[in-house]
Amino acid sequence: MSQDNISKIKIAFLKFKEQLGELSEEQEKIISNFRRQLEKEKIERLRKDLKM
Amino acid sequence: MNFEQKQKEDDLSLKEGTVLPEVSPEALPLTETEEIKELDLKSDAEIASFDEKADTVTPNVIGFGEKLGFTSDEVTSRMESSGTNSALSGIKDSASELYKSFKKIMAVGVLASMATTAEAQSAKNPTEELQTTSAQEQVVAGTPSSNERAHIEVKKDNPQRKAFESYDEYQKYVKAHPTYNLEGESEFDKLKIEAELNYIDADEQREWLAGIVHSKEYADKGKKFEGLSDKEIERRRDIAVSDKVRIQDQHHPLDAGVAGEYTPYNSGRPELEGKYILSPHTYLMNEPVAIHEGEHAITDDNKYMSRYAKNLYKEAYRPLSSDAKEDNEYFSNPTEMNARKRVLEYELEQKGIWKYGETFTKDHLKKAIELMNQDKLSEGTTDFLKRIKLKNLPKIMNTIAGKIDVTPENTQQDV
Repeated sequence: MSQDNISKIKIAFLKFKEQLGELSEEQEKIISNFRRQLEKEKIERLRKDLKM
Repeated sequence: MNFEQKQKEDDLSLKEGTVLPEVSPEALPLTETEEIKELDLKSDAEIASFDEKADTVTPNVIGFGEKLGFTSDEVTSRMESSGTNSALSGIKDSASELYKSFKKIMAVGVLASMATTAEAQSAKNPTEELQTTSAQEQVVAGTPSSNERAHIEVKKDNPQRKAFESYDEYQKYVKAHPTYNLEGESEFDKLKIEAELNYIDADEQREWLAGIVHSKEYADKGKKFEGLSDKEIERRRDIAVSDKVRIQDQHHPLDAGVAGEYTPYNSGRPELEGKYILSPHTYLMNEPVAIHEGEHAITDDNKYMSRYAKNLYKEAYRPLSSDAKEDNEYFSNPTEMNARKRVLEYELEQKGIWKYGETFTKDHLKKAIELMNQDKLSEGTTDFLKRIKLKNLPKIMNTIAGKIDVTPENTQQDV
């Protein structure tokens, strides 16, 4: 195994890790948006209850 | 001073009663095999941790919803209707693809090294050796059979590759192109590795494409259905083995978000004509971009496609109602359909469904659709299959070889 090939694999691993991190962030954003959506809906429900 | 010498000197200088500091195994230099094994294990751990976290997302969100007063069913239904489930599932699939790509790079790197060692020789079994010999004889005879398509060496001699041989060569390359930003040597090391990773992937695809064009089946089909002369077939073979690929750099620009682009002749950009540029990240993608662009190079976009092929594609095109006008123009362009057809062929071979030269039947079509529905085909192939009348596909697969003719608009091409 040449050092050259090991370097390539190391770089590829760092990229893999970095992109996995980006996907993880994206996942967090989706969850966060959905939670906000639920919270908004909850507030709407409370408003309706108050009017009643 | 090497490690052993240093150790001897340290041993001699030790005095009686000296307390040696503990040496952690991590502090010792790793062997190359250990380094690779460690990266392998790290990648497994990374994806396992990602998957574990992804699996807890839904229960956590349901728990959050319940605290707000929603029932579990209400949260689940909202996750579905809002597209949250499908977005999360898409992310999980993307992570899995990244993991597979990394494993592939590792395998390619290890195999490339093995090929230069005696270890690789001893790993060869007699059957493999026999197949190699047989394939070599077929190259000489020029008539490889469909079962044992000959391996065709493609040229790897373009100036950009040479630039990455050393920092000196790179400096010469950038000096030859005054608009290029000269990078520092450390930056060069990174660029070199990235370029080489892309070339490994692209060359593997180029070799497959060259193997198709050099096959007996290709010549037979070209002669029988499209009247190709031996000279024309040779010309196609020359294009297939020549080094037309470049990785995006300042001298080879690519718009953001574009994976690859071929520049046809007479396009007004002589420095790029006949070449195709790949994004530096294609090696991380699940798209055989070099095959797609390589096919454009062989037909010089639409220029050398026969009227027969163009008509066949035109008749088969089925626009999607969701496509905008520009999408329609792009996907219905015969050269785009032809490039995607070649990628479909590659993917069906890779998955062991069908082999070039074999008659493409309804069963093959059914299997291709199944793969598409399971998201197991590339985006380009999926785009093609979604926009084609499926009943027309067997005729396309069985009669179009990717025609090049002496006179591009020859009307005598109908089968």
